Amino acid sequence: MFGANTKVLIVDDMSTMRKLVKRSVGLLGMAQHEEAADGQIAWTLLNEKKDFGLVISDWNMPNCSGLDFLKRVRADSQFKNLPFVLLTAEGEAEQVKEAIMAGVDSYILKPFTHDSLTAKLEQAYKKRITGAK
Amino acid sequence: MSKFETKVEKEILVIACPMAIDKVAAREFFDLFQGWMMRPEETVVIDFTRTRSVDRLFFQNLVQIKAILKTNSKNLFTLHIAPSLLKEIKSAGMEGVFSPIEKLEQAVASGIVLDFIQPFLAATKKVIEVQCHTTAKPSVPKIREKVPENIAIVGMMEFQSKGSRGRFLLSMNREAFFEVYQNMLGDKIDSIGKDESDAVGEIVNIIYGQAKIDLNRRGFAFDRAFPTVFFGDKISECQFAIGKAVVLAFATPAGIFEVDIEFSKVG
Repeated sequence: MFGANTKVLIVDDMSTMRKLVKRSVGLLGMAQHEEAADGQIAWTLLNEKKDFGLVISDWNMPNCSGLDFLKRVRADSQFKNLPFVLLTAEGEAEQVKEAIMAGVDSYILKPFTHDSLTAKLEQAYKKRITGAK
Repeated sequence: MSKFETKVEKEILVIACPMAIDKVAAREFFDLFQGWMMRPEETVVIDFTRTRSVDRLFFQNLVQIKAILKTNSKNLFTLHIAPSLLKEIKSAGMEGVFSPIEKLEQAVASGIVLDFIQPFLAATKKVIEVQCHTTAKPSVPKIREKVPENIAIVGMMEFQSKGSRGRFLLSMNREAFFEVYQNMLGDKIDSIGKDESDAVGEIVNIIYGQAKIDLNRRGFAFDRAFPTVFFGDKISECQFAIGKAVVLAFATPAGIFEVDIEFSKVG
């Protein structure tokens, strides 16, 4: 599982959701994090800091959506292996498929519990870090 | 002159039946119904207020009519059936065909319930319980009759798809909102500002996301939408659809919150 040294980029246009995610990853020992209110801001942060070990992003955001952000991340060679989790209220099969095609590591549907988020992060870790299917 | 009188009330086609429906009247009703089917109203109520006797042929015709209406995505209800007739209908196992109601308002609510209310009811309960760790006991759906009082915050989502549009409002009094906020985020609050209001926006967003999955499975094609939140003086800008919206009240341990749902076909 992601360790205490993993720095998390939390992307959501709603401050409430950023707060909830921050609390959950904090409970998992990940104390380092930064927040962004949309995909554009997140992309700028990612390029400035370059030290993130995990992205947890909403899908439905103004300016640059979570899916567009994911596509930019995967298209860039320096971030193509960065663990990326979508945390979203968009749960229709077509959307999940679109996210998988774009290279998402795990997909969390809101509403979520701390346990369900933990399980999905574990899934993302196994897939991206250990290479497990 | 026809034995059956029609009028439109609250966008519902109401057909008033005569005192006695014999075989002749039953046939007339069936013939007239072909024309009524062409009308734009999506809900039909057959009013039995004056009716005391009904020939079995009418019952048989009604089975066919209900099926035709269903095929055309229309709803049928019967109003004020006399107890003796209702007993006869129940013993014939035809209660489902008649869908008896006591007030016209029930038809407004029930007409929307079929495909639209249920996804929002289920989504609201789930989101408040899972994301906000608060129990929420829903009441029976009814029509919004007046502007709610003592509301501290309202979250609104407007959404549309080809041929239809809808609006969803989540209104909370102070007690319910403070309780939900604390249970959701762990912070005790005693006032509402921009940061606190964001929580209602997120709750509305998640409820709509959940309901949208269900609605789109039922044949709608609603797209993404963004919530708007009203609190303080801005509450007055929030327009409640009196006489049109279906309202569901939920009781939490600390207070009450309500959900208004509106739906209309466009184009």
